[in-house]
Amino acid sequence: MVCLVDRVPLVRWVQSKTPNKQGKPAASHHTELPFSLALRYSDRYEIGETMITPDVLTEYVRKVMPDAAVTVMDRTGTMNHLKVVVVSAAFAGKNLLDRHRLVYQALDVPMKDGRIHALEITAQTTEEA
Amino acid sequence: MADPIQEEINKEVAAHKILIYGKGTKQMPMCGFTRETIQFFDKYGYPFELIDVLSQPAKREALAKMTNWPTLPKVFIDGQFYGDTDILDPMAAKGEIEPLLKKAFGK
Repeated sequence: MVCLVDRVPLVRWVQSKTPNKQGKPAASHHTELPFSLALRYSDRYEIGETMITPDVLTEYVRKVMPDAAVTVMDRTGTMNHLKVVVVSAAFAGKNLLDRHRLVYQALDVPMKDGRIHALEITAQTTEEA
Repeated sequence: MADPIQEEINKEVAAHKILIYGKGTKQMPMCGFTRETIQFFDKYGYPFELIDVLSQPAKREALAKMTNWPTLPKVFIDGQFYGDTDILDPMAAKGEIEPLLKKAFGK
């Protein structure tokens, strides 16, 4: 189990405060705030528009593992501390570390933009599930 | 010349049989999962080191690249990377941790 709160860059929050001249949000820039500041703002940031749904999360996983069966459990009621069970043939012949690396790779975007703060992973092949 | 941050990490990994890179201290972990990892190793009774990288983004980045693992905590046993408790718990369930630690500590 891991926690990602230090990686929450508050990109959207910062962007909404700093539109460019055309009034459009600035192109994606990764403004990493100091941890103390990120933590202070994380309450307002994490609940609401930045929630990820099980369907969206499943889509991310299937981009990397098209056959994946994905189960998402919400550990905190806020949909950002998640337990994710992925069953895919892609894990066959891979050790646990590499299986988890594959899941992290698939969920890189929602982890980096802060939609997922904490993630507990179970990665199994169809035979093991 | 090697990157000084990488050299520092290499030294730390070599110096501690069980090493956790995490957030906070043993007395005051700053993350529930760092706490969980401390509790995991407390059970076994071998000495372990926790290095706080909460306020060191460059070192976290170097660690992430080195291990190809994006998150904290990160556990090294006897110089080998073992991920986090998602990896260690299933290993413990299979009885693999005790012999690994015995071997690491030469017992």
